[in-house]
Amino acid sequence: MEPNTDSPFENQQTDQFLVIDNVSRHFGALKAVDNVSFSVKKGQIFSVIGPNGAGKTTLFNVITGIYPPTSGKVLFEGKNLKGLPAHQVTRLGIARTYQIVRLFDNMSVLENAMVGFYCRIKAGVWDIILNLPRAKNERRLVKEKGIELLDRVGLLEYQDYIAASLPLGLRKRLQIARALATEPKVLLLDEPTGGMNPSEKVEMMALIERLRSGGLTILLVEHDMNVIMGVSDWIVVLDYGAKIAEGKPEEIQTNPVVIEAYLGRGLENVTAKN
Amino acid sequence: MKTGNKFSDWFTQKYDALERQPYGRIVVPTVTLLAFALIPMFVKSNYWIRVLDSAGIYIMMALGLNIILGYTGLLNLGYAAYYAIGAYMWAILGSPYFGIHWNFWVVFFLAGLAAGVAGYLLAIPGLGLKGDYLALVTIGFGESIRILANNLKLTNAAMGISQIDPMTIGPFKATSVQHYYYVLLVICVIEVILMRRLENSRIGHAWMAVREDELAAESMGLDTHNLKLLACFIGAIPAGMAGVMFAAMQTYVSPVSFKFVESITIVAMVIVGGRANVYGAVLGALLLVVVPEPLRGSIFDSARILIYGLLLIVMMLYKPQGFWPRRYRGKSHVKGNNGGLDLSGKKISDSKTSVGG
Repeated sequence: MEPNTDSPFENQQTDQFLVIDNVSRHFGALKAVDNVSFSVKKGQIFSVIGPNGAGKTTLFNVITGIYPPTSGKVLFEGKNLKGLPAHQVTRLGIARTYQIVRLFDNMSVLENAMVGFYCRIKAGVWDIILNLPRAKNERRLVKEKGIELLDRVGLLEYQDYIAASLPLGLRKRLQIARALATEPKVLLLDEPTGGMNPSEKVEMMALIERLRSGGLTILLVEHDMNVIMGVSDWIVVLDYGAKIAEGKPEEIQTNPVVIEAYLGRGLENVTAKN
Repeated sequence: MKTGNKFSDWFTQKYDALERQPYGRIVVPTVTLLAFALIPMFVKSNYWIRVLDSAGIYIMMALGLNIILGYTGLLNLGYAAYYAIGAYMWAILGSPYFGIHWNFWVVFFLAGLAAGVAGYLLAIPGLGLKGDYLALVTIGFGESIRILANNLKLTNAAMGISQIDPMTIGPFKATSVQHYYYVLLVICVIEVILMRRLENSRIGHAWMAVREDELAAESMGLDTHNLKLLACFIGAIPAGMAGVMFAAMQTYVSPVSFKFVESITIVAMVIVGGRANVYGAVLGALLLVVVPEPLRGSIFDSARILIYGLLLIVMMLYKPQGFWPRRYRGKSHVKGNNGGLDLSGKKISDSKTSVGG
């Protein structure tokens, strides 16, 4: 990106890690994301919460390049992501998981993990067809790294199994492992604990904490308030596509606007009637 | 069909076990190769060697289509068009029709390249479409190539081109079906080796990832559009080369050889044999060429396509992965009734002994 010396604001922003600047995404008349701005600092666990349909997943899709924003921009380490296809966003260091787990079901667990590394290696068709050293070395290296990664997330014993045979908890873990294989700087997790039982949730929270202490920045969409309040450093609240609040977990918990968005204004009506 | 399933499970399980042995990787291919090399010593009938020659040509193509359909999951129903391109290239560049007699192997590789480029060019607009629509575009492409050949002066229209030069290797001229048999055997072995390398490479895995979930593959930093273009390019190359072999072997080429049915046959080979497995594609091609052969001349001959159709339906219902698919441990429960949601970790370890599919 060309440095814009005219605008001190631009320069200020390039110091930031991941900046969401006035991003909107409309589908026809529906404003799925409406003028949302916030900035994520390096090493944070940054949560995006809101009622169903608030635009959280759409926001993730805009950040990761699956949809371009209707207006506004996403800056990552000072680089405008506008117009970049999803695979290039991933190569810049933004990886994600999906709310509904999307694995490569008819491939082995290890192959799933290995696919994540492929955007970081270079062997071309000729290297592979002629079995040149580059292809051989990379294949060995990726396999080693894949096994190491599976070991780290506790999936090593399933490495040869078809991914479709894993139960949900392990599928979610494999999805995270696969995203980590792309060597991200920011990891976007879309409801990582959805559908999990309490003990699995605790394990997932521990994993998220561990990833952060390993230097990863985490952007989290989550419905479970225990998880959110337990791990987040900073929370942004969306409702009907717009940002309604932002702050530390304890501030958000007591914020009347947030409570209203989640629970409605019913209480006043009830008290008024009585 | 249940017994067929059992047999295929038994067979692949045994084969996998054999391949896991340290000697298995060397012994199994060597023995298979020797067996194939010895066939002409024992099979004296030229007729059957010719059938196997034809199987060799289909193996070349099934391996190519396996890249497009098996790994990348793009349904190409016009694959015979690439075959036609290759066949007509040798018919034009190696026959008295224009009085041009190029070197066989130069045209062999040129035809591969031409077919690859055709595959690539068709993919540029075609990949904007998904699933069934892409299949329709490829049908249209396949038919338009055939109809062009049926009408152009260049291809001698419906009469076709005859007296095509046979294959030559240096001063040596292939005159018998046995000569073609050995050359095709060598080509198929080379192709199997190259395809195996691709299959187990980052590109092979990336193709499969695109087939499984394109969006997720894109999120893994894979340029899915380029990968699909590459699959369409590489996958079409063997068909062009197979076309050259076909033209040289038959010494006659006409548009009748490249009907829609040809494309369907090759698709059937990949699906029956086993998607995304090199050996599966080879097996499928062998089965679909050799097995119906005794029916030739009988009342069933004209029903050949009907039988392919029935076979495809039966395979889709009972063994959608094909006879010899790529194998993993563990049963896939995702397409089952509960979407894999109710599984406990215990079940996974229980399924250790079963072979997936």
